[in-house]
Amino acid sequence: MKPRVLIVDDEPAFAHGLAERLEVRGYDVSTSLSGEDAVDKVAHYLFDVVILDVALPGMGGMEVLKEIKRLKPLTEVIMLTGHATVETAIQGMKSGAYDYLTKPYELDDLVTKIERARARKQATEEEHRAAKVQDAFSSPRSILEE
Amino acid sequence: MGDTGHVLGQAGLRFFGKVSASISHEIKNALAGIHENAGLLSDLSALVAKGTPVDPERFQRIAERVMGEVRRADAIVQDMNAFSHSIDVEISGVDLHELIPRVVRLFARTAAVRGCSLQTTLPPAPLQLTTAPFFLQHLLWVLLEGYTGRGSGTRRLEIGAGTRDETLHIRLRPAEGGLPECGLLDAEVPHLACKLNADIIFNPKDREIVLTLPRRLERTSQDPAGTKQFAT
Repeated sequence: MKPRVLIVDDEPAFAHGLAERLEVRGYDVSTSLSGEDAVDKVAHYLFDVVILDVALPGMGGMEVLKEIKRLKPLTEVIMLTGHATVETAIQGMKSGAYDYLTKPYELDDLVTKIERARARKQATEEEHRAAKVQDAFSSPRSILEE
Repeated sequence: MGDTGHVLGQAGLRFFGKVSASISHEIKNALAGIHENAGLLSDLSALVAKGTPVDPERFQRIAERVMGEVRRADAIVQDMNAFSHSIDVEISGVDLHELIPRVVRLFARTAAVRGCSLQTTLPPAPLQLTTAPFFLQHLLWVLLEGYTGRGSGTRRLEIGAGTRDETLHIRLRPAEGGLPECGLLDAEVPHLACKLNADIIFNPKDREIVLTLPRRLERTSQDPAGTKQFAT
């Protein structure tokens, strides 16, 4: 299955350009031009990694990050920031973002971070599965309760 | 109240800095769009070089995106140029059909980040006056900040203008959203009104501000007490 990425940025030319570049590299990419649309998409679909602009109008990047983490805690978020918003991006990492990149960036750097974020998500999902199996062995009744 | 020159010197520098920062942010966004699509063109060219066919329409679409961002950046630079030159001469002829939309465009990003949209409605009739353009832009900016500031609740702000006899007026009114606190009493507002020989009326019931300007400003005043700012 292709890795699933959601790009959240209010600049259409940037978001669509980045989406196509990632598609060329084999990713399954969706875009959201607003925080509200991004939260709606995360609520209804599964994404491995969300690339999130910090400086979104309306529902801001930090608010979107918190909603993503509330809805889909295992989905990893990479924040994109301009110079003036590096502090916000660092705050984002304290709120659960995987990493951040400052624009302009090299695409290879972004792809590296996407792959590492995806690997962490997979590892975390595997841990959760293993924990559930362990629970099932130690308490078979727990499967019925679920 | 403080010396007008001193107050506006510091406040004016802060205002110029804010506008410059906003412009640089917008230009950076346009450059990011150009950068990303240039990279995409490079990626697709590499695919073609390896023998993978790519629809020529795709190249055309990407080129149009790049041209769109270039046009956008050019418009931003034009606004920056007009704004920067507005301080060349303290008093000059001003067309509100140009000045008000320019201030709205420069403030639009700030407003959007705060969840507010700005709607300008200007009559077709001429709106020309002789005034101090830099200080008029500064006053409008301060009022826009007041309407859209943290916790303001304003979702849509209407800006209009008109003429009456020997005066022109600019009107700001929240059209949608909660009733905001407005920075009418911000320190520089009386000094800016003084510079423009303008009267400011604030209607607390519907949070409307009407700014009345003389059609011809001969020289800027130094006495804030000489102008009127009051709530009805």
